[in-house]
Amino acid sequence: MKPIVEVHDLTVMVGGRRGLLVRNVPPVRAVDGVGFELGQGEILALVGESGSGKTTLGRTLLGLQRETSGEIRLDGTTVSGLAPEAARRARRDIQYVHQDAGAALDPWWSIGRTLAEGLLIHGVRSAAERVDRVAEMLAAVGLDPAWGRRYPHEFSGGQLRRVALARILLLRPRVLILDEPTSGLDMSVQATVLNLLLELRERFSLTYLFISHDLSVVERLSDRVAIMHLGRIVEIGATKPLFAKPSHAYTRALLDAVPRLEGRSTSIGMPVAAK
Amino acid sequence: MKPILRKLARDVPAMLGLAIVLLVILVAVLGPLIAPYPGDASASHLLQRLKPPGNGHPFGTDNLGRDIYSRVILGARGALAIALTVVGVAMLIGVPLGLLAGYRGGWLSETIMRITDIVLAIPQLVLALALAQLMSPSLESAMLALSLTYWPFFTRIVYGETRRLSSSLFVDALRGVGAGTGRIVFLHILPNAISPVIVRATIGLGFTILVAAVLGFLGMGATPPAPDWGLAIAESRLYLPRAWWYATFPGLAILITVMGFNLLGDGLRDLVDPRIRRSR
Amino acid sequence: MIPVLDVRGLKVTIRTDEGRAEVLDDVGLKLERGRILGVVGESGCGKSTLIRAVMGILPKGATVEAGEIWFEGENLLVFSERELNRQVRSSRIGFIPQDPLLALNPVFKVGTQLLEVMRWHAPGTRRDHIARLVMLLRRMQVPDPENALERYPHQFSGGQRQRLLIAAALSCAPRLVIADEPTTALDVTTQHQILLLLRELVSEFDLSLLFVTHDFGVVAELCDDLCVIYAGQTVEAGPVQTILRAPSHPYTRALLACHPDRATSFVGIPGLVPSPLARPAGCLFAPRCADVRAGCDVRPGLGRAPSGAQVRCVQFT
Repeated sequence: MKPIVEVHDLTVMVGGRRGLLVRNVPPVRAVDGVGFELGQGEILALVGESGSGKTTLGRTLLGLQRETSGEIRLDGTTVSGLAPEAARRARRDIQYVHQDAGAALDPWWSIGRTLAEGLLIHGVRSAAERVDRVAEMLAAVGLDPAWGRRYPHEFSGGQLRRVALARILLLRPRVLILDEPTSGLDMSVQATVLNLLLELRERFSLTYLFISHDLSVVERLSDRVAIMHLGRIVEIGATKPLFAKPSHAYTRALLDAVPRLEGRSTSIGMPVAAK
Repeated sequence: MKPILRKLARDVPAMLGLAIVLLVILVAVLGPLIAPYPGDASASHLLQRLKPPGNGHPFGTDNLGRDIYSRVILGARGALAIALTVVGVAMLIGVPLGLLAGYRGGWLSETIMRITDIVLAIPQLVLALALAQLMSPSLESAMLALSLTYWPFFTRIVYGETRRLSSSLFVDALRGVGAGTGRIVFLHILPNAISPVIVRATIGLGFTILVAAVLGFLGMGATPPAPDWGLAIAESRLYLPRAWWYATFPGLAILITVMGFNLLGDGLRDLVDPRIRRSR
Repeated sequence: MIPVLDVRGLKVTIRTDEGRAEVLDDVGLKLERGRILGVVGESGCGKSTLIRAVMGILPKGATVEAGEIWFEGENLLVFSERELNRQVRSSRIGFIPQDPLLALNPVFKVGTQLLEVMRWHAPGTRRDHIARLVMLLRRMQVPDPENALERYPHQFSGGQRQRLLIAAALSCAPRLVIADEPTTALDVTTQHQILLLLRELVSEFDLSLLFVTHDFGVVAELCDDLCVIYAGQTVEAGPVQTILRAPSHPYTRALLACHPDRATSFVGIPGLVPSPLARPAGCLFAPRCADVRAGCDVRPGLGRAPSGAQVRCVQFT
C-alpha cells in the first residue's frame, strides 16, 4: 500500500503568549514527536481522550495549525515548513470535517449557497455547473437536492453531518480528517452516518483519518488504530490484533473502560489513573 | 424569517414604535403636500403673530405669525435627514473600523480600539458642541460633529461581534475550505454581526434627533428661518409661559419621534438577542 | 414493598406556536428501592420531559393531562408548587445534570453554590453542612476535599466537576437520584470511573437511581432494570439482562442492532422519531418498523412478551 500521507517526528506547540501588558504564558507541547503513515484508501483511527492532542494533530495536517518541527509529506512531496496560506494550498487534497457540523455552517446562508461557495473558491466559474454539482453531491450523501434552499437550523443532527460531508467532498479531496463524526448522535443515526462514510470511501476513493474517542465505533470501522496519550502515539497497529492484545498499559486502560453490551465489566478501579 | 416577524407583531410597544416611525417617515416625505401652509417655512405674517391654537391654526402661530402645525410637519424632513445622515456616516466610519480591529488583531486593533475608548469616554454632547463651535455654526457642521461622536458605538459593537465570530467554528470551516479574508469578513462575518448594528442604529436615529434638537436650541444647528423643532423651542423662550403652544408642539414632536425610534429599537433588540432567539 | 418511583400512564402536552405537542403519551415506569433503572430512547422521545415531570419542573405551557407519579407512596401530582419545593425537590430527589459546566455558576465558589441548596433543604447548621459536603467530596475522590469548597468551577476538570455535582445531588440525603446522561460529555476512562462510583453509591447511601441515557453499553454496565421509550411511550420494560438477551419490541431490537458491539452492518433505523405535533394514528413505531403486520394501524397497549418483559406491540397483546 503506497502511503499518501507520511508524518515524521512532528511536534506542535500551541498557545503561549508574550506581551507587554499580558502575562507570559509558556506554550504547550500538544503534539510531541509523532510519526505515522496513512496508506491510500485506508481508515486510520486516531484515538485519545480530551487533551491528548488528537485534534491539534488533525488541524496541523490540514495546515490550520503550524507545525513547530518535523515533516509532513503528501504523495511524497514535503508540505511542511510553509507559511500558513501556502501550507493550506499545498494540502488542498486534505480536508477536515468538523465535529459540530451545525456550528461549522454560516447560519445566515442556505445550505446550497454554502456548498456552492466552496466550488466558487476552488475556481468553478459557471453558476450552472455549481448548481448541478451541489445537487449531485446532496444526492450522493443521501439528502434531497431540493433541500439546498433550506437553512442549517432546519436540519437534524444526522442530516447536518451529511451536509458537512457534501460540502467537503465537493472540493474533491483525497484524504478526509473526520473529527468525532458521530459524537452526539443517537445510535440509530450514528449507524447510518458510519454506513455513509464507508459508501463514500468506495465511491470517491477516499482515505480517512478518523479522530474519535468512541472505541466501539473505531473497532468496527477502522483498518488501523493509533492511540494517543499526552501528545504522543503510544501504540499503533492493525485494529483486530490491537484490540485483542493491547501492549501498552494506557491502551489496556482505555479498552477496559469501554461500556460493553455483554454486561458489567468486573474490573473495579483503573490500572492507570486518568490525570 | 417569518416567525421573527410574527414575534415582532406580538410585541405591542415595538409595534407602536414602528407605527410612529412609519408616520414620521410619511410626514417627512409628504411634508409640503400635507402642511396647510407650506409657505410658512419662510414667510411671515406679522398680523397673525402668537395666536393660540384654534381658528385654522390647530397648534397656534409663532412670533412671526407662522402656522406651527405646518412648521412641525415641515420640520420632520429636516430631523429625519439629519438623523439618517449622521447615523449613516457614523456607520460608514464605525463598522469598517470594527471589522478591521476585530479580524486583524495586533497593534492596529489595539490602536483603533483605544481611540474608540477615548472618544466614548468624552460626553457626546460636549464633544459635538466643541466640534460644532470649531466649525462655523450650520446644519452641516452639526451633522458632521454628531457623526464624529457617534461612530465609536458601532466600532465597539462590530469589534465584539467580529472577535466572537472569527473564532467561531463556521469561520474556521471557511478557512479550511480555502475562503479568503475578504470573503470571510464581508460575506460571512458582516451579515452575522449586522443585527445588533441595526438595533443600535435605530436607537441612534432617535438619539440623534434629540441631540440635533439640542444643538438647534443652543444655536449651533439649524439657522432661522428653517422649521427646525429645536430651533422653534429656542425661539419660543422669549414668549413663555404666555404662548405655551409655541414650545409645546415642537417639543411633543421631538418626544414622540424619539420615543418611536427607541421603542422600535428595543423591540428589535429583543428579537436579535441570541438568548431569546434560540428559545424558539 | 412500595416502589420508590412509580409513574403510571403519564401524558404531558406542551402548547407551542405550532400547536399542541403530545410530548409524553403513555409513559410508565417502576423503580424499586436500591435499584438502578435505565431509561433509553432516541433524542426527541420525551426523556427530558419525563425527568422534568418527575421533578415537578415542567416548562411553561406544559400540562399533565393524565397519569400519576407516585414517589414513596405519595402522588406528586397533587402536591402544590410550594410543597414540592419544600418537601421533595432536592431534599428527597437529587439530580445529576448532563453538562456539569452549565450547572455551575462560574462566578461563585463551589462551596457557596453547594451550601446554598443545603441551607434550604438539609437539616442542621452550616457547620454540619460543610462537614457533610467534605465527607461526600472525599467519598467522590475529589482531591483535597477540605479546600475544594473554596475553589471556582473552572479550577476542576470535567470529571471532577461531575463528581462535585454528584456530591451536590447527595448533599441533602435524597432517596431517589435522577441522572440525565451524566457521562456523555466525558472521556471513556472518566465515564468508567463515574459509572463505578454511582454503582457503589447506590448501595452505600441506600439510593435508587433513575439513569437516563441513549447508550446501551452504559445501560448494560450500570443498570438493573430498563425502560425503553419511543415517541413519548414506554415500549419495553423489564430487567436489563432479559431485554439485552432477548429484546422483544422491534424498536428495542433495531436500537440494539445499531450498537457497534452487535451491528453486522451499519444500517441504522430509517426515518425519524415522529414529531410530537403530528403523531401517526396507529402504532407510533409502525412507520419505521421492519416488522409491520395486520393490526399495526391500532395503537397497541402494553402486553407481556415471552421473555417476561412488558412490551407495547401488537405481537404481544
